[in-house]
Amino acid sequence: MWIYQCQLAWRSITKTPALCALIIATLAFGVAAAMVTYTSHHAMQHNPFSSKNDRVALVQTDAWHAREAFPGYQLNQMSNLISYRDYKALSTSSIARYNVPIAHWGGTLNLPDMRLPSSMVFAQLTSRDYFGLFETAFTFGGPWAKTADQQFQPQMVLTHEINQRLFNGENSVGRQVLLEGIVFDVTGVLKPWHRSAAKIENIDGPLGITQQVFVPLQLVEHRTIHPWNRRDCPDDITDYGSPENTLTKGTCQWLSLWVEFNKAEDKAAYGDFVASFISEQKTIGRYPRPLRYALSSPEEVIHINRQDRSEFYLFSLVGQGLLIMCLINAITLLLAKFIRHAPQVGIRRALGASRWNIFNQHLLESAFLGLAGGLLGLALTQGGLLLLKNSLKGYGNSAHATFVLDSHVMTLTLLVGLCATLLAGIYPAWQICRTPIAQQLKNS
Amino acid sequence: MSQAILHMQNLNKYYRTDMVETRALADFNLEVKAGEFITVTGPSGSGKTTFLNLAGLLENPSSGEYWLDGTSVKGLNDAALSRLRNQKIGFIFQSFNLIGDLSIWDNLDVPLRYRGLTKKERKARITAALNQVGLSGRTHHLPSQLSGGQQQRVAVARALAGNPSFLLADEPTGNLDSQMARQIMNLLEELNAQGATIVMVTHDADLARRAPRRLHIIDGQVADVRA
Repeated sequence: MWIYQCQLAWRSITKTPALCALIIATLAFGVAAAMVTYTSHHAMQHNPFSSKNDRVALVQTDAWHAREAFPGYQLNQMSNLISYRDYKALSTSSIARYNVPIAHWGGTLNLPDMRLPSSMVFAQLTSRDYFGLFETAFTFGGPWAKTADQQFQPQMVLTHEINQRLFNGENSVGRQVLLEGIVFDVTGVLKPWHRSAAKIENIDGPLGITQQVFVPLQLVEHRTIHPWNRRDCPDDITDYGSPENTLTKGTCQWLSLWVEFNKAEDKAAYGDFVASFISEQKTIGRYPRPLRYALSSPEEVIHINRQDRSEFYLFSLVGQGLLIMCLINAITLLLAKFIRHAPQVGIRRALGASRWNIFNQHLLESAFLGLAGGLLGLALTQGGLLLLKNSLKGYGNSAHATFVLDSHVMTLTLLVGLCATLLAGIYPAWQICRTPIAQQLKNS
Repeated sequence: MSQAILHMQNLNKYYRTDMVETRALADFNLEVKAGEFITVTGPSGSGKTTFLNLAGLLENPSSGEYWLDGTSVKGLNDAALSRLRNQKIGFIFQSFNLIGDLSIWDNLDVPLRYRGLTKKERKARITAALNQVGLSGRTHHLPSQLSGGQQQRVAVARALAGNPSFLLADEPTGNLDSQMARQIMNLLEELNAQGATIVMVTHDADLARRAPRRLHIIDGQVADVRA
């Protein structure tokens, strides 16, 4: 009976190709609108470290001045950033497996012999631990030496793209590059890498950037450079003399510190260590506010920084609204299509089809249309995401890099398309099967 | 004595609108035995169509009892009624009611599909039914490619293919010219002679007179039964 009903449903679709195409297009548009907006919202609130959420933390301290709380947008009224001197002190702890400072910089890049045209690149100032916490893989070489994090050594890790540009993708380990007049030795080249954690890396950094090279943060102690981060200074910076001193010796907050523990239990011990550090600092007149700190998990960081309720949340609601509108349209079109079947339904009912048979036949027809709508919706979703990704490049949060049509989104798109159409098909199918047989026959 | 195929006892049917209640059938009693050929006549609005709808299980009675081939239909759900309709009743409609985009073969296949017969069984029944009405060479034609009389013969074949307990014909000659009408009537008489039970509603007094038993309905009640 199912095969027969499938045949009937298919025959009915081929009889009205224009109307069916309109229904499929309506559904596909609604599904794509909902899925593009859902994916963008999902990407914004997605936790790239969900598998180790309880072992990774952003260190936040309330180092602001006594008069008021930190005036940032963070829900916990603590900056995402800490000062360099606090980073140096906190990174002496061996409780954390990885200590990863993150700051941004950049400039003109070339080969020492200047044989290529110079290009502007974004650089990440960080530690060797970065490559462990962010689980990056290397095509050639590896991170710089551990000693480069204690005493500056001009070493650099390149991304796949930059290595391609400078060295045609060849093994460049041991070769030299020139960044802002400083000669760096290449220690490693990363594999092509889907930067799902871009929004974590760039928290409070310049908007919309994608790091292309990585250099040790120690650079700031040895060369006069100006990181591209915001600087929040609770004290009068003139106390420290030159701007360089402000950067390394002052209390201005300009880098974020991420830590990863071997086990979740170590987090409490590290918290005690941070609290002790703050208490100690209070004795020399720093940290005038009540003792507060946070070891915020990536999930909490996303929430604290309101990334889970960004404009994409509203965007997502609009997308869902569009899907509902399209569903209402599809219901109307399906109803019009099914009403045309009424005389035939009357004949079939008189000849022995039960109400259930008729309902199933029409629901199957809706399912076929839904499947087609879902597949077309999938293609439109892919197109929409590409469009959105390109239009956001260089403007917003780097999380747009994660706007991709993965298997999760693909499955969800097909399911949404199918369920939406089945839902849209239920009412017209029910209407057609509950009409009295005598009345349907009279119309035939 | 042969068994009653159709037995209606004190059957009533009311149609209600917001303001008015109309009694379409009033204490209707009828018994049709296997092998009978009955014609039902009556003026417009007398209740003929209501009788046909109730007899064909297309509508439920408001009150009263109806036994179809020994089964009381009272309280049966839609699936059970559909099954009874499919297995016990062969419909022949005035406007043929063939499905326009299905071939003759596929039209005959419709009731058999809902009965869940195998492909082999369906093929045997369709072939036999088409042979019976003399249309075995037209299986792949669409209804629109046949004359009115041929279409009605297809409808008769469709009704016969299910091997029902009785044939319920609603003005089967109403849309045909007199020559075609006579052919269809001859066919029905032939089928009756072979043992088919037939209940036929008609306006045509001449055709009605050809049946061994005639029923006349006025104001929803049996006014006259002539055997």
